[in-house]
Amino acid sequence: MVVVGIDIGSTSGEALILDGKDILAWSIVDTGYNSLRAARQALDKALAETDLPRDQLGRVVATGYGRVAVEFADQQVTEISCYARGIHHIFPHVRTVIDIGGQDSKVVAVGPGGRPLDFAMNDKCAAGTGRFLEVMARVLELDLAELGPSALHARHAAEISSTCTVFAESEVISLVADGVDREDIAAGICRSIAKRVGAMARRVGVEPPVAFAGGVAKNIGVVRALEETLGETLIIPEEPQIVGALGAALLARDGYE
Amino acid sequence: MSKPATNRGQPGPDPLHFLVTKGLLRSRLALRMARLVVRRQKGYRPHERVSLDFTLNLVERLYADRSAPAVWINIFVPSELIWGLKLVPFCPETAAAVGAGLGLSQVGMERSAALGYPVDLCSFHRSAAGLSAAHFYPRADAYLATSNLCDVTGQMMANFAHQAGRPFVLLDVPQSQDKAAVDYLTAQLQGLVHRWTKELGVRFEPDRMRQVIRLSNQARALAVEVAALREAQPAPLRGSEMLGQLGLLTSMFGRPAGVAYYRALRDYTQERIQRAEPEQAIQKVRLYWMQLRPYFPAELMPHLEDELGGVVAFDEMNTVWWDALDEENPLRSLARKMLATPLNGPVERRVDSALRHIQRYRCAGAVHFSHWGCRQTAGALHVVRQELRRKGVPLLILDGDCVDPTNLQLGPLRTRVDAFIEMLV
Repeated sequence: MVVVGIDIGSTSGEALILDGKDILAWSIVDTGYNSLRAARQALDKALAETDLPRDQLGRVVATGYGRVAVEFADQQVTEISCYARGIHHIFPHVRTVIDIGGQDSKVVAVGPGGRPLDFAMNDKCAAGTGRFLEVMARVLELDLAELGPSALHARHAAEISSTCTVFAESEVISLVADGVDREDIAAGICRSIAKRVGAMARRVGVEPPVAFAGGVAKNIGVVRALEETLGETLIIPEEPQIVGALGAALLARDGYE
Repeated sequence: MSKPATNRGQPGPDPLHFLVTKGLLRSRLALRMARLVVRRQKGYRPHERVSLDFTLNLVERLYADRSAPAVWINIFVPSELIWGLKLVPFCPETAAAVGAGLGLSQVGMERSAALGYPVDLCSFHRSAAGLSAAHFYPRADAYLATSNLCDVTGQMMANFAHQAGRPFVLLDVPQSQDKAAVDYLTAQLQGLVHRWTKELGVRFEPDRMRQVIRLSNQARALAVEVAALREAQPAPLRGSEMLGQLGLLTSMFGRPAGVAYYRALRDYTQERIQRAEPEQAIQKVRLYWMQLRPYFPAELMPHLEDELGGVVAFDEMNTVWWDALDEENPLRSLARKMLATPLNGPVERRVDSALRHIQRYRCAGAVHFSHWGCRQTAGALHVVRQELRRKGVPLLILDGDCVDPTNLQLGPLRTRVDAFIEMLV
C-alpha cells in the first residue's frame, strides 16, 4: 500500500510517499499563504519523482499547523505524534526529539514504538523559532543559510535576550551600531535560541540519545549552541525537514486511528 | 494556513450592545420578563432553569431593588456569611466571567487600560475594573475580600472601595488549618459582623444564620451526591458546563435556590445514567480539569469534548472540599470552610486533592488551564506537574485566558490539546 504523509508548517510544506518500508519520494515547498495549495504542490512534486498515478495513492495523513486545511487528507495528526513516530523510524534508539520549525519549537519524549510520552511547545512568542533566526539574519544582512556558519567563527558570543524577538532585534541593532563583530552577534543569536529551547527540553526531561529535526536543524550554529546548552551530542537526520511528513506517512501506513 | 481557529462571539466593544445590556440589568420589568421566559421556555435543563432564575433574581436585587445593602465580595468569601446578615453578594470576578459570555470583555479591558491598569494583571480583575468604571456593575455598600489565593483581588477591592467611598475589609486568611488559624479567622469574622452592624446597620440574627447554614448543608449534601454520580462511566454530564456553573454556585450556598439547584442536578444526573444518555456523545479519554476555562464562546472546549472525545470527568473547582457547617457555631465553621480549600496553604494540598480525584474519577490525565495573570496557581505549577508525573499522570498545561478572547490563541492550544489526547488514547 502506497501512503502519503504531508507536513504543512508555517514556512515550508513537505510531502512524503511511502511504500511499505521504502520512501519512494519526498518534496519540500514554501507554504506561502495557502496551506491547501502548498499541500497539493508538495504532493504533486513528490509524485513527479515517481511513476505512480495519483489514484494509486492510499491513505493520506496530514500534520503541521496547516493540517486542518489539507482537505484531501484522510486524517489529521499533530506534529507531536508525527515527529515521535518519524524519528523513531530513522533512529529507533532516540528517546528525545527536538524540532525547531518556522513558528514553533517542540520537544517530545519518545516512547516505545515511537509513541510520544510527553511534550512541550514554545509559548506564544516567536523567540526560539526559525522566525527568530530569519529576523536576526535580515538585521545582520546575512542569508539565513550563512548565519550558522558565521556563528562558528565567533570569538566572544554576544549576549542577546531570549524572551522576545522584537526586543532581541532591537538589541542586535544596538550591537551592530556598537561595532560588535557580525560573527559574535550571530553566535549570540544561536545561543539565545538554544537557551530558550534548552529550558523547554529540560521541562520534558532530556533523555539521551537526543535527535534534532526541523528546518533549524540545518543551522550548524544553533546545533552547536544547543549541544553546548544540553551537554548532549545531537543526532540529526540526513534531511531533518521531512521527519514530520515521514511520521505522518508511517501513521497512515499503520492505520493510525 | 490552517482553518482559522476562532473565538466565536469575540466582537469588539459595541456601544449599543453595551448600553442595552446595562439598561436591561436595571430594568425590573425586563428582568421579570426574563424570569418568566426562563420558567416557561422549553430547552433548559431543570438545574439550568434554577440557576438562571436565581441569577436574574440576584441581578434584580442588586440593580433595581436595592432594599438590602449590596456587598462586593471576592470568590473566596463564603456567601452564607452575606446571606446570613441579610445582605446581597456581588462578585465582580464572577461578573467579569458573565460579562465575557455576553461579549463585554473588551469594554472592560479597554476601560481598565485607559485607567492605567497594566496588561499583565489578571484579566478577571482588569475586566472588572473597566466594567466597574463604566458603571456596568451595581453600586456597592461595602467591600469584602480575602487575602488567600489571590493578592490582586484585595488590592482591587480596596481600590474600588476607595473610589466609591465605602468601607472595605480584608480578611487575613492563614495558610494553615490548625486551631490557632480557625480562632484567628473566626475572630475576624466576628469583628466584621460588629463593624457592619455600625456601618451597614445589619444585625446578627442567630435563627436566620442557622437557617442559612442549614440550607448550605442541604445543598452541600446534594452536591456530594452529584459528585458521586459523576464517577459513572460514561460521564453523565458535560464537564465544560459544570465548570461554567461555578461562579453562580458559590453565591447560591445558603439560599433555597442552592438546594433546588443541586436537587435538580442530582435528579437530572441520575436520570442520564439510568437512561444511558450521557450529555457528551463521544467519550474517549477521561480527564481531570484544573483551574477554570474560557468564559467567552470559544472553540476550545467543544473541540476537546465533541471532536476529540476528551471528557472532563471532574474538575478542581466543583470539589466539595469542606465539612458540613455547624449551625450552632456558624462563624467558626465558615472560617473552617475558608481555610479548608485545597488551594489554600502548601501546594501539596492541591496535589493531593488532584491525585485523589484523578484516581476516584479514573482519569487518564489532567489539564491545567492557566489563566493569564493568575500567579498563585502558575507559580507552583511545576511542582504539580512533577508530582503528577511521579504518579504516572500526564499533565497538559494550557496557557490561556478565561475572560479576554484576544488573549487566547486557539491554533497553538488546539495542537497541544490534540497531541495530548493522541498521547493518551
